[in-house]
Amino acid sequence: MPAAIGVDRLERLLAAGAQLVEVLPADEYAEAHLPGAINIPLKTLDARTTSSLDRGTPVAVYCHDGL
Amino acid sequence: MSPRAAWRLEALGFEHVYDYVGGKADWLASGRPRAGRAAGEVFAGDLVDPDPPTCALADRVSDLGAALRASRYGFTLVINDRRVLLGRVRRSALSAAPEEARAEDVMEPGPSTVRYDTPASQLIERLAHKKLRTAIVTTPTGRLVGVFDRAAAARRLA
Repeated sequence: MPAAIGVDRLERLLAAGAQLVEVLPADEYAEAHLPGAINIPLKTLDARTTSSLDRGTPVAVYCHDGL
Repeated sequence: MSPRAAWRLEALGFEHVYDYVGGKADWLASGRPRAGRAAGEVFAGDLVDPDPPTCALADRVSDLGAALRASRYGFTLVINDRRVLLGRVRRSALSAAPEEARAEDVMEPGPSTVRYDTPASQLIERLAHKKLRTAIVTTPTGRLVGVFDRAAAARRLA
């Protein structure tokens, strides 16, 4: 079950090597994103687009405001 | 959007999935580093006065006078113990208020706010257009970031 986290936990995860994915559309990602994040828009999220990610390493996702 | 993405990743076989629920809005509102085209943009939150006059709901109006007279904004902001913005008390509201009144009795509830990541240059223009001197900046969860002073911000951007 995915865990809902806040910014402090996110920073700890990132410091420990977690992967970070922004799921907003590409233009919103291009405008501003969190350092180190890659962009996989929700509408394209599938086995192929996530193939570069390590399934055994923690991964954190975010959008604009969680809604 | 991110909750659905998190569940989708889990269904795709990811073992440890986390949903940063505050999202980009929360990150940017905290003033943390950012990447992308807007990385170099100066945001409203970057230029606020982070320590404007504040008070609590239960503070007596009679105790607010000195702080309000000293306030360069002409108001004090009403916040709770989590620094969530609840209202604004203007200097002009004090003259007609009985001494036993509390901030809650004379405040304007829910004053308009802007987000931390509003471009500062845009906000200066908007405020000038509306003939306003200041804007209150809050996080997406309503916590007070500070007061954006149009003239001071314009000087810093010049």
